Amino acid sequence: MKPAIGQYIPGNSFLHRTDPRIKILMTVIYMVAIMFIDSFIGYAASGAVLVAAVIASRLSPIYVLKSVKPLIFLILLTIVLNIFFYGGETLWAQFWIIKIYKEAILFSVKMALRILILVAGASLLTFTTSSIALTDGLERLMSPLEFIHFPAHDIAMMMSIALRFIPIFSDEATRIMDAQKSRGAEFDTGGLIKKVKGLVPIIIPLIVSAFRRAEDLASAMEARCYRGGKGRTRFKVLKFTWRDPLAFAIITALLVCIIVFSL
Amino acid sequence: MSLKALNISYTYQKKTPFEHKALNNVSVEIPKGSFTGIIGRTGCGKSTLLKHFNGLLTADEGKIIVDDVEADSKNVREIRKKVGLVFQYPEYQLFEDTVYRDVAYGLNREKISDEEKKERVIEALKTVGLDESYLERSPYELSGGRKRRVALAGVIVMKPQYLILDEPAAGLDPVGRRKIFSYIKKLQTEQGITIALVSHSMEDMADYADNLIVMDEGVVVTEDTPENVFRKTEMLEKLGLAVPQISKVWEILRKEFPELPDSIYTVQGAAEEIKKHMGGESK
Repeated sequence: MKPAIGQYIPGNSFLHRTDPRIKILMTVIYMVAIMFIDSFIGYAASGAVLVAAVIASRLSPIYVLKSVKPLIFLILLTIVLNIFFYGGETLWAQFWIIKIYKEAILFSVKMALRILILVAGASLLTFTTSSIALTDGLERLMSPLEFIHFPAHDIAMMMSIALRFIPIFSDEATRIMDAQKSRGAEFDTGGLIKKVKGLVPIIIPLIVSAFRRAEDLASAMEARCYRGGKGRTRFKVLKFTWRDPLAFAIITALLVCIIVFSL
Repeated sequence: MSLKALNISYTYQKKTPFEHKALNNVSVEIPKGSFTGIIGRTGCGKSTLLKHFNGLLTADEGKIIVDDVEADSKNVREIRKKVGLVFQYPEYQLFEDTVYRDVAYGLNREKISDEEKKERVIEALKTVGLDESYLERSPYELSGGRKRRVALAGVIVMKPQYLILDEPAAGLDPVGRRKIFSYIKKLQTEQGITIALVSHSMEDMADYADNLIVMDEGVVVTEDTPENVFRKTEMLEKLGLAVPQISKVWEILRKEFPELPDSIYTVQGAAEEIKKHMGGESK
């Protein structure tokens, strides 16, 4: 099994021990702030916040860098598209009918920074929060909505089941691929259509096993008298500690500063 | 001519907090024509070793040698043709709508005529005790044991010279177990296919294997004949393994009758010795 993007990495740092509700809120605020920022000073400052958070998580920065690696293509694409199609006033270079403006370059660099910081920030949340804590936090954050009959518990339960099954299915997919490979299948040769057709021997057993697992899980839940969220108690109740208001205050103050200065 | 691993080391999820060294300087030889059993407790690296023989994993260090040819990324197709690998619960890999098409899947890349393909499929099905009436049936409507035999046929159809199996009898009832083992044994005795097999059942190992590899925590503890391995009761128990049940019964018997020979590890062997001891007259 390969370490997936955003996979939880167990630890005992400040960030690991912060309440998941606070971390989710912080991430949301951070993302919203990034969307407001429109100056390089602002990006530098929010980048510094990110670096501080990475230090507080005691994770190797390599993980955070790795988490943005799959996005390099997307970022390059937005840069190229923006350079060519975003107009401007100050002409910097011109080849044939392609005109490159100063504003376009600045804009595309900002876009790239925005995507990088957003993804790195979000992956820091999942690196330091187990999926159970994450859905638990979400459920609690959504619970006020139950007044308007919003199924907060069911959605959190579905999310945690979905998250729980990602590694299982990726393992299973690897196993099935290995099995088909060892009887002569090749997935990395031939044209596109051939490659897509080559996936059938993996996808069908995978779907069959997904249904089998879903049925097993449903029986197991019923056998333990699961009947939805009503009146359910918890073994581990989320509690705020001194860390949480502190973390929340620091990040909010920083972000307010960033927004104010960069507007 | 053999299947050899030379000083193989392999680490899962290298350079992450989940790093796990599965194999540590492992050297084993699976002699041609043998029925080699690989035993060891769960997580000792058996399955990882098997995947190396088939080119699914490439060792960090060390090499795999198949019939005097070193396996590398270029000859992986030839190696896979020579070394068939049957995974645990192979029935979960079935995907086609008929048994025929599923078994023939591996042959699709070979340049052979349709008639030859059909012949090979029927032949492969016969070696696992299924007749032509199964050809057009859906693999999904068969029983668990039959599904597994179809999946086995899907590997046998490639005519491998070495067949590696990871717990081929896991989860089957006693009759299903015996059947699948007898088909595998026949592949060895009648077709000369070398068998390497992982199992947790010491009884099955005693009954079928002629060479045993014992593994623990990523290293090979010993490679020897079943007689010699099962004599080391203490070592096996320390490794979380056991001797076949009949060996324990035999030990108790030998306390009463010290004149009985030692190292009996199959029921049949025990029966013959008892018969001999009683003068060969009893029924």
